[in-house]
Amino acid sequence: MSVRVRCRDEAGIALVEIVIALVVIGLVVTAYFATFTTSAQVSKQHRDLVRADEVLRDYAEAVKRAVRDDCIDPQTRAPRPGAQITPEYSPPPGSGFTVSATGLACPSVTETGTVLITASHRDVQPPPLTIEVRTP
Amino acid sequence: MRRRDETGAALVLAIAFMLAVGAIGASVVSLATTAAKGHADLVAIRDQQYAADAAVERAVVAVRQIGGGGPGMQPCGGPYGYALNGVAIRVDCTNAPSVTRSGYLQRNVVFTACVDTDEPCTDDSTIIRAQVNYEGTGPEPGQISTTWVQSWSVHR
Repeated sequence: MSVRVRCRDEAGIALVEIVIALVVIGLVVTAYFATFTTSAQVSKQHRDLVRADEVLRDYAEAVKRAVRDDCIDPQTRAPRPGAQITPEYSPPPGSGFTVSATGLACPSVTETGTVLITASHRDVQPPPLTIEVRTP
Repeated sequence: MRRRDETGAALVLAIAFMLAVGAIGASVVSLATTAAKGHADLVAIRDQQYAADAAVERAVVAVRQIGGGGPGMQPCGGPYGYALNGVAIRVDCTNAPSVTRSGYLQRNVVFTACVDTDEPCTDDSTIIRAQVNYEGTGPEPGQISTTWVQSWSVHR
């Protein structure tokens, strides 16, 4: 029967090593999960911003379509400067977006009108979009 | 006394740990910056396209005011310049009149918009190309009653 003799100066080393190993493993695991959490947050933020871009573009196209209908008399095709432009658009349900615009008035045929479109969301604030509209 | 085969093991482990943590941190930073750059590019392209769109709309209106024989008959002028959403755009135009099968003359003008570099728009730089028909039914030769967009294509 052999007996392993531990040197006196190594007494308690195993415990310290185990504690250090646990701390190191804990740090690595924490960093690993932090990576996933950050990745998920960044992905969601990016997805929201891309969707905001879609909302702004769709609304801009709805405004331009509405100009063709609202700024000309359907019977006589005479321009109607000052008439209200009423875009038919609503953000996708459940997306959490709201969209609004200023400058929704038909311009005269000698000028263009500037429309400022703003989309808002509880988590992201996309930059607004400015477009120009023209009475056909 | 530490045994000979454990010499330097702590250093190797420490370096490996630092590399692992560094790689994880770098990947997180890379992910965040890539997402931010992707969105910035998206917004820049959108702003550029709608600036070109606005510049063409303005040019269409400007050409509509041309007197004499009117748009499509008189030189369309230009280049037209306009800045919107922080992007400066140049619009070139050329007359493209045509005759319908029934013999009516169509006053068509082609507009090309690109980022303003003091150079004419080329096929490679064109953002929007639009062909607009100016319908003139007023009493004066150049008087335009309405405009018809015959084509409107976004290239970039």
